[in-house]
Amino acid sequence: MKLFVLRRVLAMVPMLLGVSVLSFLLLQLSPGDPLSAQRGNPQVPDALIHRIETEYGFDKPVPEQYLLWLSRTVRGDLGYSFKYKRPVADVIRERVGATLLLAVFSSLLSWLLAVPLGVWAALRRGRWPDRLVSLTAFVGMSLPSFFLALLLLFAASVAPPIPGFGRFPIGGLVSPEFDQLSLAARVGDVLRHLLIPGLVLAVGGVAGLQRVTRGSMLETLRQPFVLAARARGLSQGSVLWRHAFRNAANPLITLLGFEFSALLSGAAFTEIITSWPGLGLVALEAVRAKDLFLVMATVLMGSFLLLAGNLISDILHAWNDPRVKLS
Amino acid sequence: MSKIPLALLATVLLASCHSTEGKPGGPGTAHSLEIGTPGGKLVIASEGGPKTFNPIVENESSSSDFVGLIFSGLVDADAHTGLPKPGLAESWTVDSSGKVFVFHLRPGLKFNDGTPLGADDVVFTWTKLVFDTAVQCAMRDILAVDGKLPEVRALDALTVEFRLPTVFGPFVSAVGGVPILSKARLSGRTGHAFNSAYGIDTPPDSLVGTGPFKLSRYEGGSRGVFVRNPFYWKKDAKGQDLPYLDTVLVTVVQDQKSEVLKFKAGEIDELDVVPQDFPVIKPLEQEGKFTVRKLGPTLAQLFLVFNQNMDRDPVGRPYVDPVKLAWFRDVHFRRAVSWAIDRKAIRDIVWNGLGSDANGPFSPSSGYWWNSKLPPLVRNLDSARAELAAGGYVLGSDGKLRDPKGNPIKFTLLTNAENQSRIETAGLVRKDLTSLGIDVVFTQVEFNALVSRLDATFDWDVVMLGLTGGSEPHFGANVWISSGRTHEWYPRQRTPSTPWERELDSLVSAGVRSVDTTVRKRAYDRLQAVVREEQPMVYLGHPEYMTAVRDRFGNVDPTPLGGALHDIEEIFVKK
Amino acid sequence: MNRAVLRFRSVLSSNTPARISFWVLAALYLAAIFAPWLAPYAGDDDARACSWAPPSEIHLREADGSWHLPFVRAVSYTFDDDARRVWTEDSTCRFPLRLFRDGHLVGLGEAIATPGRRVSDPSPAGRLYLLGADARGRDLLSRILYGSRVSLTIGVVGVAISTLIALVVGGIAGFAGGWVDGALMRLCEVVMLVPAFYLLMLLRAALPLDWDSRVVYFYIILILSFLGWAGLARILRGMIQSLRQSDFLAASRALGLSPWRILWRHALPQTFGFLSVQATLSIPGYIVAESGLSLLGLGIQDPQTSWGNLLEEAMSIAEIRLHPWTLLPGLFLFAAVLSWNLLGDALRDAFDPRSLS
Repeated sequence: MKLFVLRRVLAMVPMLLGVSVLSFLLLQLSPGDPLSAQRGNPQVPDALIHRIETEYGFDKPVPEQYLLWLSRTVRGDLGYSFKYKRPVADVIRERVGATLLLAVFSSLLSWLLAVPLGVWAALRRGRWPDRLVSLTAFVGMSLPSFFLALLLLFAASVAPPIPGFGRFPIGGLVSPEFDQLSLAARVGDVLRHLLIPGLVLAVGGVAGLQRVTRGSMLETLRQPFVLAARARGLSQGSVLWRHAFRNAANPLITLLGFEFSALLSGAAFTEIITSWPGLGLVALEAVRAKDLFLVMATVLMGSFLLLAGNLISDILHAWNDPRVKLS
Repeated sequence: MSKIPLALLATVLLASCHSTEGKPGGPGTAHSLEIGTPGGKLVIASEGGPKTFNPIVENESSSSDFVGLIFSGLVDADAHTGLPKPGLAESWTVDSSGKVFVFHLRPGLKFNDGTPLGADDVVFTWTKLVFDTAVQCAMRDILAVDGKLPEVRALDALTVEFRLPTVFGPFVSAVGGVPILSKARLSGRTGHAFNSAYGIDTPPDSLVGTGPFKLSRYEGGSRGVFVRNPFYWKKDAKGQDLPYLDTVLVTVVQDQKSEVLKFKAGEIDELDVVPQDFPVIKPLEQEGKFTVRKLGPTLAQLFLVFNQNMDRDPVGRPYVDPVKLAWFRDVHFRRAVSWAIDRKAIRDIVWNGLGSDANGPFSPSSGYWWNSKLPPLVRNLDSARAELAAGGYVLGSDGKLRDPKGNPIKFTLLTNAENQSRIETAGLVRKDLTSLGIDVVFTQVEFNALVSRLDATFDWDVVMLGLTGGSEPHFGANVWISSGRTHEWYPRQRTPSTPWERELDSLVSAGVRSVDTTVRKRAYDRLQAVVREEQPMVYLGHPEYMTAVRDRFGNVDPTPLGGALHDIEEIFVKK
Repeated sequence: MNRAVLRFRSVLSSNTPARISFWVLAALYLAAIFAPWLAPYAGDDDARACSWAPPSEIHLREADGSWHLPFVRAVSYTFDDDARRVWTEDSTCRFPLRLFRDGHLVGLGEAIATPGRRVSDPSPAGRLYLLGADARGRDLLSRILYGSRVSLTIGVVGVAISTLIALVVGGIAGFAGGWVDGALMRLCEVVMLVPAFYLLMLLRAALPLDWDSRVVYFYIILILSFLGWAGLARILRGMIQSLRQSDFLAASRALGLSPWRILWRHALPQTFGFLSVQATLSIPGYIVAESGLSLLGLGIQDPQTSWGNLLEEAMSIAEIRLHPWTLLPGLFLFAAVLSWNLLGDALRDAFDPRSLS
């Protein structure tokens, strides 16, 4: 097991290198550089621009720049963000929490919705609950996240305040008076703000999950051991959850890892439209501003999450299913 | 927060500053100040958060919201005229050669740690910090003439003399841009070490300056808490110590959108309102206990610029197709385009009716230096057709305009993709030009890709951009001189390519080579007239500068130049 | 082939959501084809005096109380103190709705003066805005119809291209094996590893933008295809590999058929059913990706329209509050995506032998 993880982690290195070469190349191919704000400013003397260029090696050939970047990154120095005017590591550290929070919340929400719905649909296979659930799931899946976010924001901005809840917050992470709140109230405040972006992201995931749960559940219910359990006279609930569901959960667990990996690019649109201060927003702005070092850091992080997600799903899969052996 | 960079804008309406119409130059136009009472708190927002607290190394606007409260220079800028007014120096003189300036410090000045400030500190700041080549400071590059820098020395404990190698008209304004730092605190951190001094992790106590406030706490990336500087020199008419406010809280916001949300929620006390947001902010005045003031045109304006670059690329191909180049270098063509544009439509459609016509390169709000005699640029299709006829352009029966050689007129209009209002404007411009028979292809690129075309690859036809100005015209000289990097229509020329560009060069140097404001004003008035006449840039107008401030604050007198809260030491909370 | 059509028809007749989806899509695509005729105005036909005009009110009754066929009035606005547009109808004349006018399905007739009133001077221009207008007074309905031509085709063409790339790459890798296979699969993995969103933006930024709109349209399709091929290529390679080891290919090789012939005539046709289902299922992704790209100003650009670029106007709360009709293009987007999803799902169930239903 340990050996397996180690090998997989080692295998990540060339992949990440490949990704970094590809994105570095694409960034260099496109016009513009991080210093455009200075170049367009008549008050910035040429000498200053040259100084910055030399300092960051922008005057060197592309392969050399890449190696410079690589050697610094390997040593843990992610470089400087020209857009945010701070070290890249600081920018990411500040935003990663918000993105993780949103991702965990929305995954939780979508699992809580999808798994019971999937099981229910499987038990009522082919009848109206099954059809209704799958149609609703499709509606959710077909609403583009940016459109759903716009709709919810619109609804929130015209909706009257709800007693005990107040107005729906339209954007941001916390309320202005956050600092003065008690701990419990702070948690509540963040949750309130999570509602719209969390819902938007969750809705997109429900359809797929629901479908997998249903399919896997159906397959399991046909298995002889379920029939056997039923025959032994175990209660319906026990058969369902203790036996059938535990087995049906295997493909779901694999999905968990993939969900994790989709965090970064999946949430970007939602973050942008609901002003959620996460990494997606940073990534967009970084690419737009050609903020070289920040783009590289976020792309690599995204790829790393993807690889890590795959690894996690393999491990989880092995853990839940004794038939699978990691080697 | 009174310094405004002259910069190409990614978005037209970055927060900057404004003035009431019809307040032509001359110091002393400030409105009468009320006597306030001490105490209270003001909360403002700053976009992006500070990069450094170092006031000398590479100024960035997001840092200046913080730095401007802590530090101050020998002179300040008048928020109405933009002209220098006394700061740490109570007066100054210049000799007849225009090269020797003597500044007289106020007696009894102290830094915010209680230590006295004298001529030594001024000399230290200039010679050991600003003029040290190891220090990253743009001011040094601005003041250097052929590598020679001014000589600075103390005549006595309260008097400092600057000897310039050559006359530099805006020298007093330039001096105002350099805050005075403590020699005692920093003499061990000169040279390279100074570049990293006063970073954002500096303990607040060691940020020793002379501004009205001092930093008491900085919570990285989220907010700064400033408290009254007990040693600040200024007093009100009744002799009370200024500033009135106990605390200023600067909250870091990520963008304009979240700033608006925070203002609506009551968290911040001031907001620069852009025309697009006005219809949703204004109705909240009573509920939110604030007033939205309309203060005249912004310093920012929108323009079209034609690529007049005659150079060739390294492979020997011309940067601009010679056929198109002939149009762009033809003043009749440029004027015709200018006459054809319906600026009222831009104002009504894009800015919700909140804006005004431009009359040339400077904003009416730029104070003393604006040339008020030029008539506004408006649409006149007859004049447009007359210019086209004068240039030999013919409108064919197929509705297409052709140049004298018979080439149909077709070009690409480029602007940056980040800004929806610019895309609307470009759409209107395209339609206007279509009515002349010109075929315009409109495209958008990212701001930095646009700048790289303007600055490096020169592969563009016509670009729409925004530029925001400050008061002192020389600080924007890079746009006007033919050798300038931001002389957008044909940058970095070895020799001026037209007689009028030669005249612009000489006007810029007339403006900087005199210390007499009337002489300088004459040069800049002429410069504005020449640019208006030749229209290398076609000005589309200024959006309105508007600001919302909570009603409980007194002595609030927003101007486009100074911003909503200039002279923040005078602002108080009404009882 | 005939069997596939029969199967498709049986899916439609047995699955109600799929049937409805099919007809919704048919209607949308027909509307796209006949957009110039269905749309009351050309896509870029602006009317500055009607900036942000709300949906037209359709009247039946004239000011003097007389009844008429449906008509609209000319409208104009002034700004109130809050700089909001206040609309007034010009009741001095009416503009009757006419069918088949000037080559459009619906258009406005000449102004007819209201009895007893003089037409105001200059005479007002009536505009028909069934779904409201945008900032420049362009008819939203017309723009949605023209935009559908981009939004609806981009998915189909994009999927076709990426499937082609996947077939070539997956086919070669699966068939050649060895180091070719290894290299191609590593390439696929790297492409799949860069988060799609970044790849999209990076690729877009790497291209010159001041191109003819048709060229830009094809480039956007290419970019989207570039994202889609890698995953599919891997699956195809796997399928072909297992085919290669199957008996009948061994048999054909024993018969002395050339490798290419085996690939084209025998290996690939076996993947056809899978591919068609896969294509239907991935079309919605392309449609949404184009909209997202255009929404950020990186895709289709004004004056061309796509549903995403129309939604760009709804990006701020201020716009949605003041002009809620800017959200409408999203509904069309939703309808198209939902229909493709439901149809694709029904097809998967029908064509996939392992499916459970």
